[in-house]
Amino acid sequence: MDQSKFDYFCNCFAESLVKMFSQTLGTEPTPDTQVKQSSEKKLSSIVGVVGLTKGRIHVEMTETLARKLYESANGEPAGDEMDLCFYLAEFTNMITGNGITKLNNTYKGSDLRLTPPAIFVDENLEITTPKEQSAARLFSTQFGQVRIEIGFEGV
Amino acid sequence: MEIKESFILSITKVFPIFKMKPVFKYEEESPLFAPAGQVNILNSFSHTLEGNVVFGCSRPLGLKIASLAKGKETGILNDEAKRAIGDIVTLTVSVAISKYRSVNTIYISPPVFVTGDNVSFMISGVKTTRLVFQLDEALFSIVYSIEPKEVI
Repeated sequence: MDQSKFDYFCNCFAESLVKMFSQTLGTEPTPDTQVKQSSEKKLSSIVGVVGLTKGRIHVEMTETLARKLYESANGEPAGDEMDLCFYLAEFTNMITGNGITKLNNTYKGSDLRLTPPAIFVDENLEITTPKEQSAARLFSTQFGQVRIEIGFEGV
Repeated sequence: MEIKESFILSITKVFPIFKMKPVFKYEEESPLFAPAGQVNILNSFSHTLEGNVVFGCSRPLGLKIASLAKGKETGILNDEAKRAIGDIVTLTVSVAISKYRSVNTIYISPPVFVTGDNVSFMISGVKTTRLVFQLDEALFSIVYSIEPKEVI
């Protein structure tokens, strides 16, 4: 995959994330460059991509932001962490689903498919895919930051 | 072959290639949201089989596996060490899946490393199974949720 195609892949998923956040929270997340250090728990949702090329999408946010998203979408606060994980899985499916549809429409025959999301939770998560080239986009909302990292093989 | 037997067979065949002899200890139904290891490797599937598999172990065991896979002692989980563990786990999972279902192509995503000291995870909204193995004095687990899927 050449760099311009990879950039297009990244843009598709990042634009989808901005759209989903805007629709859910009612305000558009703004691009950011500096990660705000925090001891707060992070929720990370990982979705694999298979097909003509392989990769993964990783969406990470603070627990506060995840709870706010849940509340905005459901009209009531989230219960336990499992509630949050279920919602985050659904939310990530929507982000990655929009992105992959756009990519499949642009690159006919790519036959890209998404794997089910897996959610990981911890204060200090470190998530890496040693065989991939990845790029991350960071966004800020009034409730915390969200980061999307897109990685593909053969970039 | 059932998926559980496929994983057990695969682990007992693949790991000895790298001078490790794990022993299957027990199976349990895992809670949907459960504690994970300090070192976790996620492999995901789509197409005719859909789901996630997570290999989980402690950091010391992860280092030991990386050292045996590389054939030299490693003290840190750097990219090279992660690649070594990732290769073993992905090979194990691929062999298990091919034994479970005779499919020509396995649509498996690249291995993702998740490390932390107090990690919890959820890989499925439905039934999740944990297989626990012993390697020397330490335990590791394979947690999976895999469902056949009709492909249109």
